[in-house]
Amino acid sequence: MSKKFPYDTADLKPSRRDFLKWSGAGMATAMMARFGLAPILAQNMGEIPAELHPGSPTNARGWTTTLPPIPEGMPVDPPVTITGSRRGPWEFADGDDIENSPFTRLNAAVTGIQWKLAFNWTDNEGEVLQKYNLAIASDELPDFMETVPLQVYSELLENDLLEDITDVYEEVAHPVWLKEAMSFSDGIAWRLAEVNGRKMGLPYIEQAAQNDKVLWIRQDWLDAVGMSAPTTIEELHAVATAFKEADMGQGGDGATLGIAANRQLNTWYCSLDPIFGAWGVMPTFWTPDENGDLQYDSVRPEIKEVLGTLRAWYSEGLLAQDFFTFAPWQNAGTHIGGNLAGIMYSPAFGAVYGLPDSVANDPDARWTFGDIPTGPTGIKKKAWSNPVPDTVYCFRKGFEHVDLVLKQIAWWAELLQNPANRYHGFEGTDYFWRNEDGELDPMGSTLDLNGYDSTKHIWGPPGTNGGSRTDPFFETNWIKERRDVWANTPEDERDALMEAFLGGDPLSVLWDEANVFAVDHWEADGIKNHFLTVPTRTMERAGTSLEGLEAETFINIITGQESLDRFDSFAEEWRSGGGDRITDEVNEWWHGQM
Amino acid sequence: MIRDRNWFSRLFDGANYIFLTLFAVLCLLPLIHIFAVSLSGRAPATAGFVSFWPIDFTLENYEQVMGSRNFLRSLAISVARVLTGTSLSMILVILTAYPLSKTPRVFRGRTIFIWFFVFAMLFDGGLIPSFLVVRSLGLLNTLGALILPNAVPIFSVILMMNFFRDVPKELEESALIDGASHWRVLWHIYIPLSLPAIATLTLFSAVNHWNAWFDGLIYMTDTANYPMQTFLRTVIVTLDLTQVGINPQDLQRLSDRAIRGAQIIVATVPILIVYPFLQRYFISGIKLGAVKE
Repeated sequence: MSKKFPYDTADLKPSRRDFLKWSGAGMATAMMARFGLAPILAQNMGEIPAELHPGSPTNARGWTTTLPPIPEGMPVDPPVTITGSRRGPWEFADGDDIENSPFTRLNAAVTGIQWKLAFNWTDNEGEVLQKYNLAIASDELPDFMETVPLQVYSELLENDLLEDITDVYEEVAHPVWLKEAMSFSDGIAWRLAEVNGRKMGLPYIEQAAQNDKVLWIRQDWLDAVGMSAPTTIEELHAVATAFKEADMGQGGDGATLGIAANRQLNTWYCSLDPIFGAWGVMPTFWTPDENGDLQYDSVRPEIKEVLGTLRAWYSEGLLAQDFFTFAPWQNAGTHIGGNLAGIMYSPAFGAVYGLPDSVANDPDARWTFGDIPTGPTGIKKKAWSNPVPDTVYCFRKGFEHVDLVLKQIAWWAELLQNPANRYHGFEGTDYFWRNEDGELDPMGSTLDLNGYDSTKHIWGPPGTNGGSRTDPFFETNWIKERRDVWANTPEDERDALMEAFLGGDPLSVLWDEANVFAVDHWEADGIKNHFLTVPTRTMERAGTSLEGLEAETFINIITGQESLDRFDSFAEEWRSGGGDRITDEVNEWWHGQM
Repeated sequence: MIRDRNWFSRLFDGANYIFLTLFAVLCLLPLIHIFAVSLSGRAPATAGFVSFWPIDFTLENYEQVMGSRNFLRSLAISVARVLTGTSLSMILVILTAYPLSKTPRVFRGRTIFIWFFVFAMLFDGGLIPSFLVVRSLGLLNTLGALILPNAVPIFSVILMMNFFRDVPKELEESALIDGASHWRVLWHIYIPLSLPAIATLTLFSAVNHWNAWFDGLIYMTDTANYPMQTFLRTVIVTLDLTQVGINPQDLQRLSDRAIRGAQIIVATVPILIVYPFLQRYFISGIKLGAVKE
């Protein structure tokens, strides 16, 4: 096997991006021509009753959603019942439930599959483990298991309880919507689902650059202090200091912060990872050294320089004095929503998380985003957000219908992920008509407390709670379709779907822009964590205490409770406390990959 | 000296009152804070601006909570659970405690039964075996799974039994001489005399049922059947999102402190209302039970 995940982006497949330049219909045709698939047969669609269709073709201002061709041999007759476990919760329209929703009704008509709920869970700490362990103990594994956590996955593998889907996958998996879609970044998608070259499940795939940071900054504060957006760490320091000195924030006197941060230095929101990246290192990541071995970045000497910088910032009051008590989601409320900080490193979706509260509390707040500043030697790097989290979709050993599930996934993946199909869910679940003029409420329905997305009701990718797709560029493709195709449609030819999305509030537009920006910089600016498999033996034994030591030491150094030189003894402690052995084990795996 | 002590004890009383009042206020403040948050707008609540008075006063949070099907369904399950679970428990507790309160001469084998119950109180089968039993009885996802496994709270049985034992024997004897059956003795003598204990144990049982969340988590394989406290954990307890992602809309919803405040208030108020009605029994019940043992 070739060595995985080099920085070199030259061999990334350009085809997907190229598609985007073409119009939606052209894109679909091009794909089919490329893979020699038959063009869509109109009579195929006749079999699906109109009331099951997504979209609103009967409304005066409605639109049609194009359904992909029905997979060969489907719908199966007689229908097949498949049990599955799901991550909940959901809300439904009257009378519907997870086994009977617009999704299951259309799906049954297309594929002949009836889904039956084995069990589900919510995101409470440990709940998912609890439910899977009970299922294993009672010897009642469902046919299809959603988002199996790593611990459970290892246990299932050890006890030979999972179906090897390698051969079925080769045979029936869709060439575009499964095989090609999941081949990004040199096959990183299969980092867990493939064991010794055999596919033991399907990967869970999030969106590209989903947690990649951009620099979010208050433009109105920049204007007030007469500065422009920082491009280097030095300038960032100057701007943060200016914000603090001018006391731009909403809190009491002197409450303004330079930059929002929390106890996790490298995390998903209000992270400091681009500051470490400016020195070319990334705490908690494993990266290749000059000899081609993997090294643990947290103990590299550059970390000491970054800690020294942060220590200085903390003593100047640029970081909150109690920042180490904050979790990322608390930053969103107190520091960003409460307008105490005007600078943060957060992902594109920061535009709709934290910022809405900021603008609500201070109507003058004007946020903008920009590229991350470069370090003293001109390095500009951030943590590469891996779209394949530590979880896998699994099939029960002996389950006979893996092929049907794969076909279903491909059909829905094509429906959702090809923007030309114009899928926006079902009337009454994903959107409703706000008035008789055909104005559409695209995000919210009356079902839930806030915006709702019925792809949660879909069993398996490209649905599920949390939005697992097969294509990590799904969201970006949609944004580009909206900007490049819909926006160029003359206004009087636009239907309600186009209008609803093209309007949008300023923050949603900002989100779209930041998303495209982050995806464009995803491969080039990311420092990747190259250790991608299950924890090694020594990690399982000593990992927790070493992580604790690291987190505590870094915070103590930043807050000045320990000297900066403590870093050297920490690195020594880490090595002797199991770090050396972990490094050996990691490299054993790493070189086995080559 | 006596005046001094009076003066001192009055000062002591005064200090006590002040201390206890402060302590009571301390207990009330978090509730008042949550109440204020629940009546505030989303943005100021989430930013932490609200202390004890609502900002951007709105009832919208309550409208949304009361309009959420998931929340209302879990509330209905909890109410059903409290009503059926508590009545079933009380019937079983009384029926169990009555024979056990007799002397071994009246009820031969009493000691064996007592040990049987004590054993069951001290040792249980553990999580997985309990789950397997409930599952093989076909109780998963039913109200029965929440009510039946702990339908006989043995601690309550022992309290009730001791209470029954302190009822004067002469009352029972005179009734028996007049030809009353045990049912009549229980119904017309023991129960009316034990109302304080019954009220106390009913309250224990109701509060336990209302607050229980773990059995809901284990025995309800479908989250749609979660009772309220289990459901509330999904919106209040720290979420574990390390393994899989979440939509930004959901993230926004989950960090909405105003909505969470409204949910906490709606979940707390029903049980708070029950307390004053039963409290006088509650106090005397504990005293009686304690003195007579």
